[in-house]
Amino acid sequence: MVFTRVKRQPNVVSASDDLLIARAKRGDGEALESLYRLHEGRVYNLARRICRKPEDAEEVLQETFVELARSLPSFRGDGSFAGWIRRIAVTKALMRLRHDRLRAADSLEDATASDLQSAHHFHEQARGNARLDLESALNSLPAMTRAVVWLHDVEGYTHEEIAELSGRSVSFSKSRLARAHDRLRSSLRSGGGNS
Amino acid sequence: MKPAPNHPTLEDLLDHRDGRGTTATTKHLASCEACRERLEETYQLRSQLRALSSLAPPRDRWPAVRAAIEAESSRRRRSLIARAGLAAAAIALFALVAVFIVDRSSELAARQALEAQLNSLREQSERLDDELRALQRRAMPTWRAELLLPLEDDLFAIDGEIDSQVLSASGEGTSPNRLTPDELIELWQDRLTLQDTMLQVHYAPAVVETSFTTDRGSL
Ligand SMILES: [Zn+2]
Repeated sequence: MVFTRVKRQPNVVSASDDLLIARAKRGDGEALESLYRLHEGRVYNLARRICRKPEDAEEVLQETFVELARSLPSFRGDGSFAGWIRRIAVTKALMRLRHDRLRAADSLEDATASDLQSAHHFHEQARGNARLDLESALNSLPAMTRAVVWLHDVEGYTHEEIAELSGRSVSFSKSRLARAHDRLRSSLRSGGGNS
Repeated sequence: MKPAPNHPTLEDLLDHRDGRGTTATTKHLASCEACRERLEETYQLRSQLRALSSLAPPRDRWPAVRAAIEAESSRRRRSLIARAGLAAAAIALFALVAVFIVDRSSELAARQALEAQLNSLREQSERLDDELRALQRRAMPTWRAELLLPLEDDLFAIDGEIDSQVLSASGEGTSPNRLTPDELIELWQDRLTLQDTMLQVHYAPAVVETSFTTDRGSL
């Protein structure tokens, strides 16, 4: 068994990808698993950063690879394979954000109330003397704000790409990024005693 | 940080950071230390975000993924076979419905009324979108932005639902819960209510003089 254990090297887009893709396209299950092993880490991390909950991220990971298996025959290789997978993952993660909010919200009023509550919780935390580290500050951002700052500043998507992926405008993406920077900065500072 | 009239906004600084700033921002930065510091912070925050450790899946998900892929591909094979039969059934159903509608013209009129109502809601909502976009471009105090965030998230959720309805109507998506026209109207009404709330947040300080429930779209 050659492909049972593939090292995790998420950033490496290599010739071995091409070979695996060709084999997976022909229905080779082991090749598909190898592709999964190569890319699961990055997909999961991305999904966790956007969706926050581990169980949601696992679902996104699964949905991404189901979609990948379905669409692999149409992958032409014009762009990078890693970029292609990542795009599928972002789409799935954003879709999950939308649907989660709808499912959670029995009515509009409830959704707004729970949002205000979480905003309130955020402020309480920020005001308290416990210093928020970046990890928890990121988690306390509203869903789309968190998604935008992650996609833009870490994953390197442009505002135009984020607008397209999320179905919103470029100015929406820009304002979310600024808001995220503003909030992250103030929560990181709040522990320092000067606000 | 509330931007003073002459300082660029945080959005401007981020644009500058990303290599798409204006010459006005560049000029300002050359002479304003406070803004240079603020800019530097955006670089730092980005590096800190990129340095966060990667989160790994808590367990091996591959067995579940493989099972899902197999289930999907056998479902697809079945549905390909079923589709031929379905197409024939759809044609028959269409004929039946057509007869039914011609038979009961009042029904048709009711449907047209729903359609018209939907169109008018959509138009109103688009007008409010324009108005909100214009307001969004202005600098605003943090409290206002904080109030708007959850509302915009809700708008995002509603738009997602509307999109999936449009997709399922055009046969592209596989939305399990197709809404009735009445429910769709309700969804658009929710959207309008939400936009209305957002406008109220935008105009909050001017509440006394402006009555923004009337004469909107004049901005
Ligand atoms: Zn300045």
